[in-house]
Amino acid sequence: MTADTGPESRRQFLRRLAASGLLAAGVSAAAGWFSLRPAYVASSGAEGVSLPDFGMPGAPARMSIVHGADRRKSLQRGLAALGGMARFVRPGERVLLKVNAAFAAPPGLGATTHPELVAAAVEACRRAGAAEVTVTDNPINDPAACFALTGIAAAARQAGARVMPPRAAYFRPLTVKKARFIRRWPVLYRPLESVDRVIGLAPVKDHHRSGASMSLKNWYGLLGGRRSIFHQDINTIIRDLGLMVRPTLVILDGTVTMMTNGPTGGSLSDLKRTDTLIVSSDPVAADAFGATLLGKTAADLPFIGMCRRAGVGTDDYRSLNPVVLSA
Amino acid sequence: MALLLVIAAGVLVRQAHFNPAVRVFVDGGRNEIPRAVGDRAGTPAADLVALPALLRPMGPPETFGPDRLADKIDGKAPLYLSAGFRELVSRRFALKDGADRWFEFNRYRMRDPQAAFAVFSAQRRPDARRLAIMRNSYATANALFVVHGPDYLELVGSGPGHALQGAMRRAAQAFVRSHPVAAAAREPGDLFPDEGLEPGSITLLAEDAFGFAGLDRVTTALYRLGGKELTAFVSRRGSPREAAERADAYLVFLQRFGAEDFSGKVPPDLPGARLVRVIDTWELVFTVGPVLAGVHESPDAGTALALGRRLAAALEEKGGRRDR
Repeated sequence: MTADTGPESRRQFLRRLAASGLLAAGVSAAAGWFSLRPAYVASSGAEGVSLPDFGMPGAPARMSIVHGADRRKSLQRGLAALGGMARFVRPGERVLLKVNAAFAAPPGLGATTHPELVAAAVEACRRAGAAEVTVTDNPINDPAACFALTGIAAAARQAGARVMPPRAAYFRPLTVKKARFIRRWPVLYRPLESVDRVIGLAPVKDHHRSGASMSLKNWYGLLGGRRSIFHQDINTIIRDLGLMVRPTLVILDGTVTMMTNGPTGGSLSDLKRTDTLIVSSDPVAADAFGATLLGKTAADLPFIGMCRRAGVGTDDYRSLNPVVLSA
Repeated sequence: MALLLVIAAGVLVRQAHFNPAVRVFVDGGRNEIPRAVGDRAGTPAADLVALPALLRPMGPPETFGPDRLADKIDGKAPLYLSAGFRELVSRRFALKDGADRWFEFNRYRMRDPQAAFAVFSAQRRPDARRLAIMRNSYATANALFVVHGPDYLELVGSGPGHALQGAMRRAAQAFVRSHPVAAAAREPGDLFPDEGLEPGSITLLAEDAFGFAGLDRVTTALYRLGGKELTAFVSRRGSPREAAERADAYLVFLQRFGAEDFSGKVPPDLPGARLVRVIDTWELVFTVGPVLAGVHESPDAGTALALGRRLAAALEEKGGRRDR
């Protein structure tokens, strides 16, 4: 008996040791997973919907930079320099204009897409033969107040567009390949699901967290859920957004730039007249140039380099040989 | 066991690096809200404004706690959260004779008057016109900004114009009258010497002062001396020992960026002060009792020392015994 007890105890001890080791490994793996994964990622299930590439297949990226105080004229000239809106919107196509209607602020404060630009873009799409033009955003503040007080709703409707404010039923979980955060995250999908082209219309603004809010950050307005949590890693979420939306075109409005206290501003003294409008099929290039209106360079804004490395576009806007002209 | 300890340490490290937005997201904004003297408990703040007869509310007041602040001001929320935000009450008012002329009255209730001053000063506009409403208040072409006790008020108009400005000013005055607060024992800028001080330049940095995560609650003031621009700073700490420790930590931080020690140049009337050169600017750091003080980004050593002497003298006079 005594002779048998020793080896059995050793075996039991080794078994217990192995079990403890496995348990510790399991706990550490679980702890690592819980600790490192974003807390809001759904734990299981399908990947959700995805978005197509709304760009022009096979067409090289192009860009125009127009200097002038009149947004309507600047857009006309900027589009004409790239071959006209007809190069981007074909007759019968349905177009979505993603505006920045984030705040219930008057258009003069520069916190949102200017209604004159919205109207001009709608009209350009209609002239190109668009069957339907829809204007949407998921604002930060109350959507009805935002679309009304910014003047966007009235301008869009008057120009012949349909305004589509967000509703709970319009959101669907969406996963972006290679994205860190947008994985089964609710996205304002209904306005996107049946359109052929997507055009972003954004103002150039300072931003307290990211340094700037321009074309790429504008897609933040397609996110639903408790999206403010992404402010903890704003550059990565902007890169994810760049991967999520491959637009037909972006129109970056630096006619007036919010230089300080962005993204809300609040005072006319936060604004500077910079008289520049950018039309580009590459949002990264547009933002790289837009940074200069804020007195910065692309290197000052980490999300621009991150988007370039992710293959969203080029931060060397000069490589697109932009057409520079005056309105 | 060692492995479990490593895991626990890792989790603790990650927990300690939560950003304020995440903290309130997780907490659900359960912070207590201090009420100003004269507040009626449970009444939305904007309702307490005795409205001038020419105004009409455009809708009911909206209230945002720390967990929902970003729903109102998006990416600017971390600025308020890190300073000590408690609650925002927001309401729009229109002039009765013109619906297109309206303003938004935002009452940010902060942890204390210093927190209110921090967000006020961090956003001060360069063309600010000082107002008589409160010591810390100013107007721009379309807006008013006021610190009143622990409240930071923003009244943002839909555009410029005398009628709208007048209405906003009356609304702000009505709010101040109906929400009396105890007079501040000491204003953030009281410790600075007057000569060369740029008016309206006093700023309270709630955190990450001068890019150093270990330096919070730092009040700065811009000076112009002999055509040169430089910044003086003070930070009242919990004790002389804490002030000295923060000073040491800040100098270590500067040394990581290549700061060279020139403390040998410090004259005897600034004993214990340390002078360093960082690339082509100069930093002077010293303590006076529990106050950490110094000069930031001076273009030369002489100007840094001249301002440092005046600042030290002002602190000796107003701030207590010099700590050696």
